[in-house]
Amino acid sequence: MLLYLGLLLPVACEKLVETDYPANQIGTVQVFEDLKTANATLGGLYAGLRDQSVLSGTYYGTGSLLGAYTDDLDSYYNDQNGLMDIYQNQQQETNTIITSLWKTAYQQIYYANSTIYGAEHSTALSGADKSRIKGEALLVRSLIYFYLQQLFDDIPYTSSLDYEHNRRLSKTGAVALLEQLEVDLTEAVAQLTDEYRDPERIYPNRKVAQLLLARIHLLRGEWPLAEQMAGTVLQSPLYQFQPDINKVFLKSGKHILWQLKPEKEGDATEEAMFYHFASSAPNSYVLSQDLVNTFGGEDLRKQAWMAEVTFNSDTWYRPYKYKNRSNNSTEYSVVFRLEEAFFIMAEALAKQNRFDEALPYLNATRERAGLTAFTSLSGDDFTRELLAEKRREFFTEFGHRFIDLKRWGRLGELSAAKPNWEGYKSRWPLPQSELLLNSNLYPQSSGY
Amino acid sequence: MILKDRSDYPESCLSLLAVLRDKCRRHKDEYIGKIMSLLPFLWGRCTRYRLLFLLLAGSFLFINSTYAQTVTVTGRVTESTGNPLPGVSIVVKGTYSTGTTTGEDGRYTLARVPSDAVLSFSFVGFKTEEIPVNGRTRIDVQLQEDVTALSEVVVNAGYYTVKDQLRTGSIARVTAKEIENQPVNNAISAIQGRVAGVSITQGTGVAGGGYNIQIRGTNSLRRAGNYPMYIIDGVPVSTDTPSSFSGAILPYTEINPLNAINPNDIESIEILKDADATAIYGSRGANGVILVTTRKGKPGSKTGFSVNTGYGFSRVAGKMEMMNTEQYLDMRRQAYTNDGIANYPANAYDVNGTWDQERYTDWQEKLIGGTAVNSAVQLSVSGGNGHTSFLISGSHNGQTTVFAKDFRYKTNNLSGSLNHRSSDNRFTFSASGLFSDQSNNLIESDITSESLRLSPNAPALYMDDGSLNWENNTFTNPLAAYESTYSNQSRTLNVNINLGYELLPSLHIKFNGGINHQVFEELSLYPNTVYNPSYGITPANSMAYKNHNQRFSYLLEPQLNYKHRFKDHEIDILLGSTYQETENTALNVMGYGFESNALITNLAAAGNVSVNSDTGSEYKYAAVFGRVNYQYKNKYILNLTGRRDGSSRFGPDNRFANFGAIGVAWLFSEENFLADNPWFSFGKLRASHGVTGSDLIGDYQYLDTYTVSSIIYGDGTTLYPSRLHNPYFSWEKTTKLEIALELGLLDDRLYLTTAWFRNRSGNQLVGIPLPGTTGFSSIQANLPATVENKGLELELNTIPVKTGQFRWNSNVNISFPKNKLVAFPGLEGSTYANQYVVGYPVSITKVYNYEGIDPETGLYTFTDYNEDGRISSPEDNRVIEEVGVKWFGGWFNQLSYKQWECSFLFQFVNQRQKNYNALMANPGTRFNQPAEVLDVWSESNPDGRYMPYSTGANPLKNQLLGYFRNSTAVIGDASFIRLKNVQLSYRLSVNKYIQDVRFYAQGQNLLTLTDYFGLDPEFTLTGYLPPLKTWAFGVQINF
Repeated sequence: MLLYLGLLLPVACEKLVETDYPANQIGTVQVFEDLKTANATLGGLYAGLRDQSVLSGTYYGTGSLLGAYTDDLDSYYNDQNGLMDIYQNQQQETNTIITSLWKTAYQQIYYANSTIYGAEHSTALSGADKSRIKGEALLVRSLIYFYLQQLFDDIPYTSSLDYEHNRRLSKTGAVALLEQLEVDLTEAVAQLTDEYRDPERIYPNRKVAQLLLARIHLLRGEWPLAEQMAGTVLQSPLYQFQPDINKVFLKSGKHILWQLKPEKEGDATEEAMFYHFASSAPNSYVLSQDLVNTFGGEDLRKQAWMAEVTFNSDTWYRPYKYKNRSNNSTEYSVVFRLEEAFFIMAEALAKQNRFDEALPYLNATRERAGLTAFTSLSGDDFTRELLAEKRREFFTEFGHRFIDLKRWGRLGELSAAKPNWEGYKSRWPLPQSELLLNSNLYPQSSGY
Repeated sequence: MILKDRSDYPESCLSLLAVLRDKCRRHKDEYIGKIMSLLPFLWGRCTRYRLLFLLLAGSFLFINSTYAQTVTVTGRVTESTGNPLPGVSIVVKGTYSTGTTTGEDGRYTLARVPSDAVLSFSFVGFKTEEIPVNGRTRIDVQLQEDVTALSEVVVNAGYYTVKDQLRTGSIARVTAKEIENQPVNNAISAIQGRVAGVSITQGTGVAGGGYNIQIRGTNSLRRAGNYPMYIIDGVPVSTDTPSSFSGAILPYTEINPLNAINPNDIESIEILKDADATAIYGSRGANGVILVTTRKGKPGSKTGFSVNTGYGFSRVAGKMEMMNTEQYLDMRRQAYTNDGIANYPANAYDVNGTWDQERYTDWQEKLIGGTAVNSAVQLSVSGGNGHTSFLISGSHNGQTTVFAKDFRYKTNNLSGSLNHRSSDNRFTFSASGLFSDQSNNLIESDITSESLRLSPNAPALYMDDGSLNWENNTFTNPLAAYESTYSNQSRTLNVNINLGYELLPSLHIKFNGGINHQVFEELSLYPNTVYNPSYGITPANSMAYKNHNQRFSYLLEPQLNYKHRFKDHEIDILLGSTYQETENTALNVMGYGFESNALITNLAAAGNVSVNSDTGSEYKYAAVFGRVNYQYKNKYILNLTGRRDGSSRFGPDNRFANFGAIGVAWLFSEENFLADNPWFSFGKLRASHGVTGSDLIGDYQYLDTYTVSSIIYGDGTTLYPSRLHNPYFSWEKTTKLEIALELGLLDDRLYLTTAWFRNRSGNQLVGIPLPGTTGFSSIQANLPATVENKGLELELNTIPVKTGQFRWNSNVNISFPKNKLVAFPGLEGSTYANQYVVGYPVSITKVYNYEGIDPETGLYTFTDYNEDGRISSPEDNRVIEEVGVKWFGGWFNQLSYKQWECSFLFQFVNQRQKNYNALMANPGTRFNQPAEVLDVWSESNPDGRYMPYSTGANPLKNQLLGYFRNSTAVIGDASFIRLKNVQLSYRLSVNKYIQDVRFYAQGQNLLTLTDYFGLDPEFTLTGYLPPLKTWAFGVQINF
């Protein structure tokens, strides 16, 4: 009887049903009391960018999506999941790729916000570490917002962790959003230093924030500011223009501002695996004939950055910037390289009608590719050549062509190669499922 | 007095009461007065324990008056022919005492029987005799056979048993007789269609998967929140699936826990449905409880051996009629013509001349058209004497698949039980153990949808030299998918120990304990040979995933039982507590880069190994529970049950909750005015009302944490926020109400049970869907929504014919469940606004109204409700379609003539489900289509069902197809009538060495009548292999 009562009694005790933290989880507060774990939250952000984000090198990133959406890539998908619709410019609000891209982007924004909050409220991290961690997270967040803004125009913006707030967000207009990104990136620039955390430049430094800020200045038509920011990067002793076309995508280059490291030693870059096919007809993407034709026969990039595949007497070209598919020890996925600062400089100067000063910045990549340098170019000719050169230089690298055409208001030029192109397609529809979950996001992008 | 010292600890009033009660036993009169005066005080202090307090108070108020003069009674029990009846249960009526059972010669001895007691002699199949002792020491009894055997059925209610006729709750029972020898791996398949109120859908035709089981509807808005509780021999088993990799072959990665039991080892399955039956399970009883009792040795039976072996064949139950090559190519060519594409693209191999256009393959036949072979063998030994009995059973089952490769599911089971009663009958002991070893080897990803979609002129699977044909890299050979395999091995041990001791004839102490241990290991292989060799992928890219999962759970349940009868009153009190702890560890490892695929199953041979996750979790659960059952004159019954539960799954402020129920029954056939009615044999009206709960939300959901990930960046591991965190969520509660009428007519040859129930689940614990801007897709929280399940269940058991040698039983059950969202404050502004509508079931879907094809343009048209000239959501997808089961049931017949026995079961389900229109690829793209798609609109066929074909290059058609897939066109009738089971058996008595031999033939799912547009109307998720049809033969020999 006593035994029985002894067993019955402890039921009253709350301790009986208390458990420890599970082995694979750490309390959020504790995470930011230690530099290693706090850095690991940033590691989560970079791994996310690499594996599944607007910056990843697979079907999911803007490199292939916007390449196919514009006229750089042809798609041979035989799919049900929406890639073909994007290629054919007939994406609908139910498109699963768009929905997933949106959700992943905002998840990463939440992660970044969580890191910012954690660093700000940490009692144990040093002031310098707090600044750097916050700066990196701000930079990553701004980068994701930048792509979302380019894809959807007006988007919800949040720096909060409160789901009650975040579930009711309304859209922030493009103008206000770019202004906010300018503020955020200025803050990131202030928090970061030029020093690289890792000599392989797999974590971004202040210069990356400045280059992204230069992009924003261009979008906002702030030409002198864009010139100044691009100049800051160009003048930095950290960087040198890579003269050898065959070394542009090698990880050791001093022209690289930031690159994403594959998960394990020896792993190939996503890009190298994704675009590969041989001795068959393509099943995913190939470079469009339109793009291939823009390379003159003498352009070294045609040899160095694309590969020819022939099958059943048909010939295709696939992107071949990244080459190692196994035992890769020389390539990481380059996110920002110095060449972009050249183009931003060229554009900022040209917009100020300083064409002569701008010309060397346009010629740099041409000359590297074995093309003759322009000696004199101005007005619309300059713009056309700038866009054409940038297209040849940056194909399959995170949607430069789309963003450039959009900034210049020239997306209409796509209708030459894209029969379904229409003006309203300069932006994508917001995912229907998101609109249904948050009615403050209405109205849908016009036209959809 | 003592109270003053302890008044700070209201929790301790239980122990205080116990102390009081101990003393009270000794100084009864002195204390009773004091205790009575304390009652109001305790009542006020111990608000959390009122129910238990009542129980306790009740128990010691009745504790006196149990002492009387006792005698030892002996005697012999026979049947009407005079043959001795072994195994007859003899108890002193109105006590908990297990009493005794008769031996092989029908004799018994029962000591310490109060001389004024009434002895109750009962045996299944016979009418119970109740005989007053009146001081006698010898009582011989002749039992009369019972026509229907209904009255003596004792039902397992979990913590207690109850005579079927006297129960106040709703408990369905399926016995070994109905389950045994069916060609199924899981007893759940065998009870499909047999039980009212229990809707069972098999998830896959592959062995070793799961079921969707709904006991009286969907209570929770979460799928996993609707799992019933499973208890095997008194030990709860977890319903959480241990699997992480099986999602592409087993729907929802569900693996049913009863897969680990050989159906032939089961004595009975009881399904507890209403509040009266489930409230004693408190927080875990909301979705009903499935109690599995395994077979035990029979006391007083001679040692016997039994061999049972069977063999069966299974095939897919049905196929879809698809286009043949000519029709398919015609569709493809039309599609290109319609899209204005004159030159077929380079990768349109089917029409551009790359592939042979004369070739035809029935891919369903080729890929899922095989014959699965089942074999089963079981050996068992059982026996016992008057005090001890045992049973040991070992079995092996094997089953292949219908896929075109040698996959196999194997189970080995070993089970044993031992029951013992001391010679003075005061101490009882029983133990049972079930060990199961299952291994399942399968294709990694179900190939069923592929079999419906492959071009009929796709090339041959094999080259002439026997190697896989890739047709010059133009053909993704479906057989390559077979190279990628999923396999698992599961070893479970379920041990139950039950000890009982009779402290006083009316007071028993009991201990129920158990261990449940599962080691589950699964392996998913992705060798490079899965891919087209042209990709140049080598074994260096072969991958293997391994998941090792271990679960250990133990249970401690001390209980106290008090039973007392005086005059016409009978009271039965149970008081107990539960402590359960479950530990779960999982290690999930991935390896890639192998020198050769021969090494792929060994991660040590992988070039790279990474630990994807290494997790451990704990679940702790503690409870006190009780029951008070009061009967007056065997016709008025009151049953009170209650439980207070604590669970580690909730935040510190919300760990405890109370549950309870009241049940009443009136056996009006016992009333004088009906007692002598010649055609009216039994009548009972019962009702119950109470609250149960659910804590099926997984562990640790209230914590604010980061999760350690295996993903590496730079030089280290990475961390991610685990979830949006909410420490405040609490128990989901279901209030259940039931009223039932049971009528037995003509000596119970016509027995009708009608039950009406209404369950309301509030405080819905859900992952509330959130827009992506919150960073997560949901947050765990309680919703103020209330879901109502009400319905009517009818069961009619009849014996239309019963002559000397011919007997026909016919049972019909039918259930009309009605699910409704009755309240959802704030639904309009919530993220559920487009998912639910108040007043409708939670299984609705809102879709566009499909109006048909515009005879002028040949395009799909939809209702533009807001007349803005475009079809958009949520303005135009306004049609509310109810998806799911409307009513269901079964019709079971059993005929026996001499040694022959034949039975058949029809299952019928009236339901609406998504049909193949929801799944089909864009007609005209490189996927085959059902023959129905031939009915395409054209100027000459303006009534066609489908739009003119397109290759996907027509944006307008793509858009319309998008609406079509979310319209009324994809929801259709999926009702079916299925000949679920047929069996024929012949029993032969041989000689004194071989007791009898039974030959049997069985069929499962032999016939299905349905108008459903799709492969099979029974599915939990589309795209998986549907249940198979099986023929099986076997023989059972008893020595």
